[in-house]
Amino acid sequence: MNERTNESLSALMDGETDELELRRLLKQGEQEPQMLDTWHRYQMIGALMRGEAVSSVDLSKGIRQAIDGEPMDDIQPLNPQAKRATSWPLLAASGAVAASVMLAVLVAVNFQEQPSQASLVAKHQVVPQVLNRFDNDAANEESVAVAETTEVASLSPEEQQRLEQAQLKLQEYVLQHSQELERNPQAVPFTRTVKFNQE
Amino acid sequence: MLFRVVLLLSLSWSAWAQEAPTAEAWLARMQEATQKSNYQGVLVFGLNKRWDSLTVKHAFLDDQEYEQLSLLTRAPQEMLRIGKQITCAHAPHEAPHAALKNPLQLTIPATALPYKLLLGGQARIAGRIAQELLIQANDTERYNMRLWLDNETALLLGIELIDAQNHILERAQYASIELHAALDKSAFHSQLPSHQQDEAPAVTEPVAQVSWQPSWLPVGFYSTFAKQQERSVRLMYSDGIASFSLYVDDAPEAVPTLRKQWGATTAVLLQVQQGEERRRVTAVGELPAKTLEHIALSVLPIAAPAESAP
Repeated sequence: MNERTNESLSALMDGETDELELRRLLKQGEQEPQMLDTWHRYQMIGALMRGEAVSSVDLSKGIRQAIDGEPMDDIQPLNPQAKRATSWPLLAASGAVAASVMLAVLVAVNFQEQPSQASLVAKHQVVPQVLNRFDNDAANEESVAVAETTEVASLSPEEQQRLEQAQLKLQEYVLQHSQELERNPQAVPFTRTVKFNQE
Repeated sequence: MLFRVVLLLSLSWSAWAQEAPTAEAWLARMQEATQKSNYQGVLVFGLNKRWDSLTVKHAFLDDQEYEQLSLLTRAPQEMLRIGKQITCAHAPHEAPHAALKNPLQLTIPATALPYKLLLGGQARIAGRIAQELLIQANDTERYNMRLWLDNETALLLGIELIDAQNHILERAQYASIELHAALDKSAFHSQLPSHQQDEAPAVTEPVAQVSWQPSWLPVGFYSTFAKQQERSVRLMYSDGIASFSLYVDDAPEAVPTLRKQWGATTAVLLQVQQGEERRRVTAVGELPAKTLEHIALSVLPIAAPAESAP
């Protein structure tokens, strides 16, 4: 591991890295497990300095998915009956910007020290409030990342499988609709930048 | 003397009023300018979170449109259109799923729509004075559009898609543009490995009878496509500007509810139950989530034909 990587990791811990640099680090981490160890160590040091509990959760995969995917916003439910379902979409490969990576790490750390029931309650209180689709600020992105890290554990394998199937279907149909419009010269060419994480 | 001054003033006022073009006239001039003039420039487009840019070259030569787009962000990608023939090109090992399309090549039908056309103020875009034209929906079931037309040529210089709360969902505008550009046929060629595809006509398959369909649609939407394959139904609707697709599939198990949005594109997936019958309904389109959800929840089986009755 060279000096540059060290500096990049420090910058990441300070929340001062950009998306390109983050990608480079993630790629390097795949080839150099030693570098990932350092990353985790830095994370722990940071957490200790802030007086938080320490976690050994590897978030690099989730972070990679987040920065590869297009931003996908979850929308608030429109009626109370649908409220129970709000937790489902949060699990999707929601895009979280690189800048929110640090927060995602911190939240995962917090999650470790809380009893799972408490964190679920907290999530249901917090997430619907901040998931306003026009809040394009970092806070919104972070909350999506929070939900991703906390929710996976709360679903049964069957529920998780059904959710994944539904997400795949949704992606397939969105692409089909977009392609149909692209072929249609009459259609208003709204920006077609929908792109899913194929990993 | 006073009478003559008043007469003169009123005459010149009426002459001016007659000359001031209407919103409809601006729109007609815009379609003409977009298709039949020469221009080249750089345009920026995207959502709030992600911006892309592309170069545009357009010429009208020998009664044919020539257009070349080249993406300046992401992986290299090009689109060359001569008449109805489209050639797509992209870097090796990259497989973009979408053909490039100029977001400022707009065709808006002149027929009566559930929208109002309004003239706005003026602004400056790409160094040119632009006239604002608002395409405002008559209800809140769909989005509004704000167009910026070059004051001299009526070429579309910018567009914003806005919701009922006046939030901008997507936008595209020229950063720089050269009008009346000297472009001949030799200017249109691709450097990248390419494959050809013909511009497909709008979906022309007949609208077939299907077993499930929405029982509610916003005013002005009409069916453009309907097809049933075994127990899966696919429907498309348009109001002349916005469109949406509806997919109805068998749902052997309970279906979670999903709602997603990217710019102006929204997707809703949910379960609809009618007696013993359960279906997964997916609605995708350039409409607000509440409209799509309302449509999806209204999907019902169509009553069996009368012949089954005694």
